[in-house]
Amino acid sequence: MKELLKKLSEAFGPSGYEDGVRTIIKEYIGNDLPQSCELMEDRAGNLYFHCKNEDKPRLMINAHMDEVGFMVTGITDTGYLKFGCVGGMNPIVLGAKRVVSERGIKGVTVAKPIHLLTPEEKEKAPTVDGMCIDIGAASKEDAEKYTDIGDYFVFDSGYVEYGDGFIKCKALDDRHGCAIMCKLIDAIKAGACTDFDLWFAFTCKEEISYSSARCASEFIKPDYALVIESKAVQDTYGVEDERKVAILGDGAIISFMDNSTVYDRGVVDHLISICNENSIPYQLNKYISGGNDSSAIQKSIYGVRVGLISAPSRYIHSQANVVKYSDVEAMYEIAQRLITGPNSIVKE
Amino acid sequence: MTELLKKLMLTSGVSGRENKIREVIRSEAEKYADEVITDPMGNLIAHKRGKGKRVMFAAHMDEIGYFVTFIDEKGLIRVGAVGGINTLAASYCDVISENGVYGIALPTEANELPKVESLYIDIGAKSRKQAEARVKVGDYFVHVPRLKRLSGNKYVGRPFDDRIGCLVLLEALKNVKDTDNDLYFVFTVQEEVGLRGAKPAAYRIEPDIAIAVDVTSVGGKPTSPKSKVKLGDGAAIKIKDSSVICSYELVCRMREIAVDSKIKYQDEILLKGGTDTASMQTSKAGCLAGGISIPTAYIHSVNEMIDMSDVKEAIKLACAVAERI
Amino acid sequence: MEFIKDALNRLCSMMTVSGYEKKSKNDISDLASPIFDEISEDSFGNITLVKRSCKANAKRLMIDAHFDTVGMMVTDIHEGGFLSVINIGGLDTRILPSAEVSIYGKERIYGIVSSVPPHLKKDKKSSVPKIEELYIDTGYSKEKLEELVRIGDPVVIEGGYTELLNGFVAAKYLDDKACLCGALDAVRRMDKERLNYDIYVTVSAQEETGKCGASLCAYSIKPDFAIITDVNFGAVDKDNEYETVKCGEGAAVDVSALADRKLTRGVIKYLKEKNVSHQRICEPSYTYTNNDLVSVTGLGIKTLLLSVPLRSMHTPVETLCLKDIKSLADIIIELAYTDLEAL
Repeated sequence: MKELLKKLSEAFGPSGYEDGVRTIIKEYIGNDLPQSCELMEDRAGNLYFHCKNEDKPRLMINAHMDEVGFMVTGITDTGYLKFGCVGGMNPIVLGAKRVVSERGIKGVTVAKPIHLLTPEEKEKAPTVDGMCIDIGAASKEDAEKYTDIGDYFVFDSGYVEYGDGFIKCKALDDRHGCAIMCKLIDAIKAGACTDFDLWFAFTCKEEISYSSARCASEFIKPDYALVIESKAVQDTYGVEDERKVAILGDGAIISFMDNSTVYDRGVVDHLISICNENSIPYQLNKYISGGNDSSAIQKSIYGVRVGLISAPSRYIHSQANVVKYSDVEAMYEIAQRLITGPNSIVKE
Repeated sequence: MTELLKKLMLTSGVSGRENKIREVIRSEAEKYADEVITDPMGNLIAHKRGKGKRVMFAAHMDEIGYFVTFIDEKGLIRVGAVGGINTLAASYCDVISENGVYGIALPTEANELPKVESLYIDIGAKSRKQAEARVKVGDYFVHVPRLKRLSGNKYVGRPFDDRIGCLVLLEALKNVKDTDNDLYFVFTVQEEVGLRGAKPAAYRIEPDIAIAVDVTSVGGKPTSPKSKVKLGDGAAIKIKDSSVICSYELVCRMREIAVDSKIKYQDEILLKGGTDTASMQTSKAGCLAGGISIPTAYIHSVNEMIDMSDVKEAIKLACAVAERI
Repeated sequence: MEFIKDALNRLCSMMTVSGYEKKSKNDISDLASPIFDEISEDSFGNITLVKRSCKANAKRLMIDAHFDTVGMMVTDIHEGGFLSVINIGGLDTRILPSAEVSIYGKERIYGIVSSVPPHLKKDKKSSVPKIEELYIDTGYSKEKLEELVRIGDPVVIEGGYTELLNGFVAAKYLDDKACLCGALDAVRRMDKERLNYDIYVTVSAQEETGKCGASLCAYSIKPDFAIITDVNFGAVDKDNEYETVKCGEGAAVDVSALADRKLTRGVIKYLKEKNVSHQRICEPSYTYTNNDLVSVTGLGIKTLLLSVPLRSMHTPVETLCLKDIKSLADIIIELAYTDLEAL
């Protein structure tokens, strides 16, 4: 799965322009599908893989394809690009980073050098307004040859394995979810049986709104949904234990609640029992934070019973997302056992 | 050793006025060195001749204190600080002048952390005239020297900075075994006011290797700066302080020597404060420079604290480095 | 340009954190040995490269470029494989969160500077982090890490060598490898027959942490003239117009009270006459380069300060235009052929 994870994470796909990721997923799944399966897209840009099993409870597995990025909002007379953030980013992680545009133009983010700051300015956190992208253009006219207002940039930061089983790349949020779904689809194609009417939804624009996932839910009308995500945890040194959401390497996070969703108790219990029965490492979230597509899905149509498994991640929404591979493997195991297991998730 | 330590501690010598302490050290150093000289700035240089590498050890003799600058009509004495006076630690402490006049250092504002310029000294004089009979402008005061043993190996007193380094150098000079190395043990002046004395001394000696022996802050106390160094964990090998990045190959070599000689040591990175290391490293065309430090709590207060076991390790390390570097 | 590109790339890949320059001395020798007649090093970490002229008893021209860089040093090893560090030199902590680093322990180890997202912070506020609040994430256990890393080991912020448009390059620590590259290119292209001086290129250490290296070299060499080269602030947009130089418009001659006035004026006039492109910048008192100490070394040394415009100084994406490095080399060559006393 690592090779696929690398390819997906390094692909260009900020919110609203996920085409690069979608293409990779489509190519990976291919056209040679079993009779009962179908690959399709909707107008919101979501990509679906459907494994038909009529009259069975409908289960949707969801991961988002998009990543945080930047959009050019203006070009200065001297050829620098002003930008806005696509998705929520802390300006503190934006200084002096390498970025690359949809046209492959490389650039670096610049702010005023520290030497020229006044003492007051030095104390202040940087703002996006105070930064621009330097592509080496000589002037506005020169810059306009290579870029335009509205162009996307993303972090130019590749896949690295480090330490004892850690992985760093931009956009691991949520390409590891996409990778897990691709591998699950592999299993289905290879003949794994499911007792669900099973849908995989690769959604768009999670980083700026949850609307595309809502479209997916509207389209599929699932009974159950499992969202596969990254969860920002702060398990680094110096953080009080009670503020650590989870620990990298301690297994998949099964969330019972975050800032946008209280997860369906039945689904949560089912996921936990899968882990216990199969000795899959998991952890519950130990601090309430963050949100994701789950809330849009849960509130859609008549309401959907939604569960979340996520990879504990460090430095989310920066150039250096970090996950531990063993956690990603645990997530695959959980999802795989869910889709091939009994379809009576919630005992009425 | 304790007798010698007492003598070193109880003889005063503010930066630029190191004559008394220099004579104490000279009489001791002359017993063991081939030659002892005083250079124009006042550094005392003890030489133990050899044909090998020229190794310079430096510990400073001077201490922090005050110069009398003005005596007002009420007989209160205004002073200028010599070196880094901690005014919080200095307020309401007893001081003594070079001529043995006792006094108390006082802040001008009762409830505020005083600035150094606003400290004054009360010697109990009623008038300017009375005060001037005992103290002249230009005299120096220091906090009253003291030495006390606490439980175990711990000692408190002042000025361990850097008489304890002088003790280490004298003991090393005494105990060092025969070696090819050409050894210089230098007791420097005016370290507290900007690492000044070591520079001309190094200029004269042109060492291949220079090692400053001085105190370093310890961490873990409520008021202490961030530091990994602890009392009782052995001699500290300096990696960096705010004035210098030690020559890393020398740091590595000193660690090797410490391990080989079974000397207890710890790594030192000092965030605030400089040492003679910097002056020696950059004298003339430069040399390899490092430091051996004695972990010391509450530096520049009237109750600096050390652990004698660290001092013993520092002496062993200085000897081993002198013999084997 | 091919030489400049290749040499710059090689220089930028060398680990030369201030105080740890010696780790890369062999790499410098490999790069410089085809160009120079003599190479020597001193205890401080400086490397001196000499190119002799054909003249007997030629005067000495020193050309200085420092090769140390800002960086960090390990101060502690914590549970979970995190390291505490302090800065070496004037590091910009604003760019540290989420930056990738290499720790030069027993082996080179990859790490990420950990950052706490604001919504998980106690005060939920975004502010400039202090270096002691930042930890480096290595992904190893504490026990494993203690085998690999020691207190005092150097840490470098990583960043590759990225070519931008119009011959611009973004790389880590072009300060001051850009000027070193220019000096090497100049000497490489010098015609020995025309040299008016023996050329001493000093690859100096610890500029970022006290600016002592170059003056130690100057003390040993006792040059007749010294050209100090360093980077200067490249203009970004229209900020600080008068404190900056423009990237792509050539190297700059710095006018300062601490550089020799007659030499500086003479050189500016001479370059104009010869139509050698250059810019000027004024730094009234301190230049905060090696110039300040070299000029007062020994009996005093006549110095000229040349600089290459650099944007985003002290970050891993320092950005410059390769043309400006060539421009620096062109100026140096021109001056090495000239009788500087007569200017």
